[in-house]
Amino acid sequence: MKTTLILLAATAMLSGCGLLQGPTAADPRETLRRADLDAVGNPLLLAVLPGKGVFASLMPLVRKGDTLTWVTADGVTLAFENGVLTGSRGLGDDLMGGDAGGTASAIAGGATRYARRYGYLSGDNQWIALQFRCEVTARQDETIVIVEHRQATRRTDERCSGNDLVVENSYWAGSDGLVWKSRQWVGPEVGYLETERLVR
Amino acid sequence: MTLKHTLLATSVAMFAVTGSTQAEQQARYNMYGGPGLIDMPSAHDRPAAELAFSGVYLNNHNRTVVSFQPFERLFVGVRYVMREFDLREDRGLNYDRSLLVHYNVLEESGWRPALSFGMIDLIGNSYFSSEYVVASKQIGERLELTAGIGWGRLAGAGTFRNPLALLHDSFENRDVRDTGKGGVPETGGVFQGDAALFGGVAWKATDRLTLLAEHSSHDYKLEDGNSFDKNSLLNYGLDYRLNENADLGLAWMYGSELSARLTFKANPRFPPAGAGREPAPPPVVPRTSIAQLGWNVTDGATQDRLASGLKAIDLELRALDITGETARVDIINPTYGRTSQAIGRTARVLSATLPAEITRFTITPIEKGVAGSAVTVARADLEALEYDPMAGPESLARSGFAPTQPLPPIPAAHPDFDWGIAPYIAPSLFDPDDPLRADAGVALSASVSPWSGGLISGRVRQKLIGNLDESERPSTSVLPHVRSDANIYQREGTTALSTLTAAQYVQPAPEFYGRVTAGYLEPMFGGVSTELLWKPQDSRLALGAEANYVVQRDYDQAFGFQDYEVATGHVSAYYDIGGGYRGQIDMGRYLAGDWGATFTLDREFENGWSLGAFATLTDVPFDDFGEGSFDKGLRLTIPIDWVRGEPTRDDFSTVIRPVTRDGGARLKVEGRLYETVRELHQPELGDSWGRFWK
Repeated sequence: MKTTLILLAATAMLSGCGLLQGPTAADPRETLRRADLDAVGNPLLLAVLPGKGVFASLMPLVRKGDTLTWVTADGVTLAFENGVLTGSRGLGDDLMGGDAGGTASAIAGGATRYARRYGYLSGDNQWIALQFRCEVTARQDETIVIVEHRQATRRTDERCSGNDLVVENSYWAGSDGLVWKSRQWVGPEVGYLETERLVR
Repeated sequence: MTLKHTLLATSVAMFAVTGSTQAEQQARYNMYGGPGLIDMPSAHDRPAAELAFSGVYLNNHNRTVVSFQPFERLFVGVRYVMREFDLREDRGLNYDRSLLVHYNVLEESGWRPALSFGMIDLIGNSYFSSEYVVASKQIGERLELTAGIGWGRLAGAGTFRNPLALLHDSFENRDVRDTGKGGVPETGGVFQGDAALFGGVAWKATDRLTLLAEHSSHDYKLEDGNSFDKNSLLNYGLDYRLNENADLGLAWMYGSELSARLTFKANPRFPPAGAGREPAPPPVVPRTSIAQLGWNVTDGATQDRLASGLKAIDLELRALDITGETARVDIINPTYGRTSQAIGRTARVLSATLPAEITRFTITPIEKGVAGSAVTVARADLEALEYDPMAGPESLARSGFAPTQPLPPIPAAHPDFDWGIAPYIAPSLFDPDDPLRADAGVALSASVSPWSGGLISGRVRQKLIGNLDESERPSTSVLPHVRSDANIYQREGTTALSTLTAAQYVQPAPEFYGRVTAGYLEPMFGGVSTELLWKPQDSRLALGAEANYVVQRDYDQAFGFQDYEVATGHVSAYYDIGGGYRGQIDMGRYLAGDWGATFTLDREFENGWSLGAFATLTDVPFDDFGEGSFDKGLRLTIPIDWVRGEPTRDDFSTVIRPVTRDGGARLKVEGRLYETVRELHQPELGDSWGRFWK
């Protein structure tokens, strides 16, 4: 993880990885082969904004405790705490911060009802905290395939409501707790984010 | 932590939720650019903070309206009506300016209709002097009924004895106002004289299209047969929403004329690009990771790492001092519209470039060699709050704000060159002869700061297109022509040296700021300007004094001067009222040698938008001042980052005066101290503190 500290050379570092892509309209999974991914020395995450039809791959930028921040080639960052999205930057109406504790516990088979907050910045630079009540609506074992890689996971579905909104998130976690795949709500403007862990 | 920064949103106003009942209870714009039906008002109003511009075509009766809803319930519009009379002998032309004030007394609720009253032309000598009380009620999803009673010009058909006369005899007859030169509030006649009823229906056919019909009580006695024929009291029309920011109105008016309206709307609270499309900031790097790198404080590379880290995010390092566990950094922010964002990004770079034993960052924004608040952030808080759902208010509460002066700058900080070439647009609204004049061209500007606080700067403008010079109206002012020869300046200054000045800024104590500026200060005057400001870093109040000695410049805006010279200056008090309001009072001697005071109230949004009104009263008698009686107007600032969504400190600012005369005219000087310092201080910094994390 030491390389991730050389932030000032971040662009140069990232361009060294040919598989890392800025946002594209084409799904890279259609052309990617597992053999290509096996050659990548770093973890790699695929992120999709289905509402905007945008695909991008991300590399780890920095780890801080349980929070791992990933970055795209064009400098968008996504932060996940134990696989739960807690922030985005560079997406416009970003998720400025979020709770992850309850959801992370749910993914690990613990909590089934908990509160969750999402923080945003208004167009007038005021902080807006949305409060939700969440509950786990389903837990089931699923084997998923990510670019030829079969992975046994436990799927956890979460339903959060509040502020006249209902949000449904899903997480597919391996037996060691790693979130291999997810569908998570970013915010009212950005909508949902889908992720797949291309390279562990 | 204050509630202001923590909108625990049950109503998510930020996201402009569409399709809610709230949206249905907004009024549409009518053919007078106010809330209403077609020619008549209705009772609802517009969303708070909305600003709009309406252009309306009606044969021989065109209208231009600028309007603003400063807060919920109050709507204000400045209306400019161009009336042409096709009289038998010659063709008459009349330009009339009037002010509409519409107040929503009761909001619609259950069976209760919305109720509003309005007054047109409380100020001025308009032909449109009138008042109304109006109620509107929505029935079902699509139908809205409106009924009202009008006075004055809105009592032109089916009139009856004023019901208010039951209360007091004085309402029986409408007093004729002695309006003099206009511009002075007149209450004579208000709600007096005969009254008439009006009403109408709005049918929301689709989300975009509303069909309208009304019975008008508007008095067009003067216009009927001269401007257009009034064959009927019924008007039929439609309102069509083109997009979020524009709508179109069409109407068949008074049985004889087709009328069209185009309205452009913007709401400062809702930037087109949302919270901003800038690239992600560098991440906060935890000390646990930094510790592995083996950096230490005596390492000479620290400053270089920091300087290039700041440069990568378009900030400049001005000074660095590490004492014990605290790193003090002075920065220059040429990039970010909100200083809080520049400070937040600086803190992130510090987390990635300073050795792990540094536990506190003190960041001071420097502008023109003077310091703002010294903001102290604990490195542990930065690490803990980066993705906290309450990061904005929490970090504001945990940060320290202290008075300070600049550190000695690093050698690389000076000389600091800057230059730019940019298009400009100089509009002139509500000119008595033409409501919309404008010039456009390119401006070349350059500056150099040879040492701390020193600034030599200049700007040359080349007009490319425009009609500001077409104003032939010679100044009839009996005062020295300090502003009223503007059209001559515009005609002769196609290529103009707008400014060329040398300035020195100083900060003798943390709360005292000083400035001396000499040279071609503004297009019409040159000379020497000196200023002193008292503004403690966390104070809502600031006090200032300015003394200038200036000579009027030649019309061609080259290097020459005319022979009018004057000593002018003011003492000023500035107050941040809170809630987005700012007040200012300037007392002193104006350019024409007149003595008086200027009162200004600004509504400022935390994204940099600002809209204000000012009025200046001096010892010049209203009759000597001329049209308008005294100087007054609106000032508007639109930040360019609001429009584009990309970081920039540029903005578009303009002052709209109903008429520009010579009384109460103030010298323009760039880089006045209050506007330079305010954004670097509390409470202004904290008002947009969430941006620290963006």
